[in-house]
Amino acid sequence: MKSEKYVKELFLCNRCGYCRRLINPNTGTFGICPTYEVKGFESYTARGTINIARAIFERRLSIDKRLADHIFSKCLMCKNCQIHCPSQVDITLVTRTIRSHIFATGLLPEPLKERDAFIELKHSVFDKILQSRAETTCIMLPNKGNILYFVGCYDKYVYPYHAAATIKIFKKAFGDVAYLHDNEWCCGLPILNDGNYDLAEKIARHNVNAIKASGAKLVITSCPGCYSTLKSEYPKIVEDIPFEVKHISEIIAELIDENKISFKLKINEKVTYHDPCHLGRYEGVYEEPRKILYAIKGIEFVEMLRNKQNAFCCGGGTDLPLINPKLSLSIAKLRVNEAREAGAEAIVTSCPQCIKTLSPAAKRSQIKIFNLPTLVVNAMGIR
Amino acid sequence: MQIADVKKILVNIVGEENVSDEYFERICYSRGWSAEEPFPPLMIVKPQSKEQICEIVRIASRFRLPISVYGGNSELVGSHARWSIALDITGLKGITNLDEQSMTVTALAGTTWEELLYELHRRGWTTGPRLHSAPSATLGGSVALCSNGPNGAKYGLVGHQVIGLEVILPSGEIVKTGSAAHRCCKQFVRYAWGSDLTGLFIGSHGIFGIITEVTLNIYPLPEAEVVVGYEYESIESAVKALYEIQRRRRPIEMVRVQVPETIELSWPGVNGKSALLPLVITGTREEVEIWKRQIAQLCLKEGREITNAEIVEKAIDYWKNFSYSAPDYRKWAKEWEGCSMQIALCNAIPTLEFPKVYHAFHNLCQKEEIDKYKIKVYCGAFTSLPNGLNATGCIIYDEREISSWVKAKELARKATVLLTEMGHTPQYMGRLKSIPEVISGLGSYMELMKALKKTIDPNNILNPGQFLIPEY
Repeated sequence: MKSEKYVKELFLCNRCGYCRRLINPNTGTFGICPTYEVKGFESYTARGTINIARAIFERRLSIDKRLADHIFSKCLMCKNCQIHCPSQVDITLVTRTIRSHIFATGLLPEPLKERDAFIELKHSVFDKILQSRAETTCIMLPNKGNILYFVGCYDKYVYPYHAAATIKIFKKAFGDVAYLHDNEWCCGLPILNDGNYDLAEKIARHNVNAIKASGAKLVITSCPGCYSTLKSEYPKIVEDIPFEVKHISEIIAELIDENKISFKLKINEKVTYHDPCHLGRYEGVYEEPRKILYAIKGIEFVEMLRNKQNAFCCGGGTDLPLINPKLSLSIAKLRVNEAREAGAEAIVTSCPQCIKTLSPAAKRSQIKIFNLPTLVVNAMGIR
Repeated sequence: MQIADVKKILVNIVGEENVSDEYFERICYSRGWSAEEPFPPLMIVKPQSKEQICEIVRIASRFRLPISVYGGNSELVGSHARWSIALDITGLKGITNLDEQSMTVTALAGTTWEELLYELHRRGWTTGPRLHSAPSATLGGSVALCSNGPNGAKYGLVGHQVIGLEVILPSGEIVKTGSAAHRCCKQFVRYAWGSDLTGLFIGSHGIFGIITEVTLNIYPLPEAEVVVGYEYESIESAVKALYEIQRRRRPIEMVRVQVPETIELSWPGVNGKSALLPLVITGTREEVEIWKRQIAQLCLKEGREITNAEIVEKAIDYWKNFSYSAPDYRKWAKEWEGCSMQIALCNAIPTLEFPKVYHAFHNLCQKEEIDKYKIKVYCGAFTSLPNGLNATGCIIYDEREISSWVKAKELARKATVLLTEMGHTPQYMGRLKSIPEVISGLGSYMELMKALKKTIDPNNILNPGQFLIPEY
């Protein structure tokens, strides 16, 4: 709690309150903090987080169960406040540090405790029933190779057809890719966000060693959370990482450029693209998914008002649906409404967690949700 | 009455989701942008309608519960009452009437300046002043403090542009000021139906009523804008040129007197000069060209135009982003890793007085041996008034060091006393500037304020403690 960098971040905030709502001068859209937009209380803003963190640091506030629950449901770690902060406060670091303190005091909210215990035991976010679905998709893939597909918990267990679509693209472009099978553990992002640094380190070391053993020089993920964790978090934990990490949308965009894939079928849909926070704000991948959508015949693409670095989170960040499903759904509704206001009939995204979070809200609004690689496979006309 | 009972009543009025007495929530409302020490309110309530505010106020009056209104909480002087219920009015936002014929806009008090300006600009209009903290500052708060902005050279203070208000009194009654006080008349002119009651609430720090709606003048967006800069060998020469411009009422929009300490900050590349005068001229294309020439004649008497295109471009960027001034002074505290806070002492002064204020402020700082306390200062000025300047003594301190923080506040109070005694009026008071030595100079004016307060708010529920008005 008292690392120099952390203390510096607390005092870097000058309490201007620009993290409440800001205007994008081009589109006029307001609202950067999804939870503040719904709840409206100051504690949901980044300035609120800093005020709380400083009060804890200065011993004006002690951590109890209610505060712990609040800290874990107030922030999606979407980084929208951080990139708009005039003082460039690293709010992700501050939030993770408070969370690590809460974790150390044993006050982690129950659903997260259970999830983390499950990850530690089963190396995945999801339970056994879902796990039975997993291997049907990836079982045939070799465990060694130059290019490795890091599938991630969601595409492995919740959306195996997303993984299947991604593998089809790989087959068309590179032939077989490697897969870690049982050696692929959850990337550890949920653990990291809970402030459980020891377990996060254990997971990172395991995955890096497993990837090294596979001989892969390029790791491709279809989950932005895994992508950002492997690409930007692991190097902070593990020295000497001998592989490059890319997201599937970057790969597809490259394949389009190299004429290695072509789109035979028309997809007659008016779509918009929802930027996942970990792909966009965390890693700066904004153009590639759009490039892909523009390349698919028949697609009419419209932007939502809040897009790219201003994109509004879906409401699923840091597993908010586990702790506060009502709040998460309210945020998802805001995002789906934005898509509808843009005139879109479907939302395309490249994040399985965003799909899961947006789906209930989209269903009510009769808006379709597409996974980008699945859409690509359909447009390629491959089975 | 117990605090739990108060909560129950408030929940009945606004619903459970709009009331919080959680300590961590109160901590978040315990301080704004100011250097005041944190002081959590008793409870936070977020009304969603004017009717709810009326009910809350009636209850507060009945039980003598102090209320302090919160907007963007971007205030600089500590203007919230202690031991009070925080009334967060940010739920009341949006334009309620844009009357292009009368050239006025009416918006709810929780609307931020940035939100208002965006909507107006889309329709080809603008307000007069825009605040430095436009993204967070609300209309209600800026009227209650009579804030100012960088383009006051043309438009003056926020108060100068207010046509009328809608206010909820401590009795729970809703009052409209300005021409719309009469149910048949539209909000069009401020001075109507007798005394200027609008003025009673402007700058009142919320002690007489809760502002719920603000009507402002609007102006067509200027067709053209040009930024020019002049450099001078002394602050005196720069200020003399500015005075000549103001005396001839040349329609400049913004001017900032850049002193040596701020030149490198805002105008990188211009070194070794004692003062700069960057000006923004707006109007039609033809007007701008004419005024640019006329202003050049005045400025070139003792100054030199900055012709370096790169520097001028940077200056344009600087002006365009001026409302985002927060990171500006952080550049001053590089060796503190940017961990700096600022106390900005704003004093309205006649333009030609600025060199005196500048030297007096620096002399005081030297005498106070600020270097020993991790404090840095500069004294700049911008045109918050068509006939004067806002002299801003900025005290930058490191809030990680208690001694630096305490000394900065002490220095702020001493500087406020000194500058007031020199005849320069502090802008907005708050706890920071409500100093006995300053307030005592108000004599019978203060007695009248107290009498009005006692009449309008006999239970002293609205923002007690401001202007050192004692609690009854």
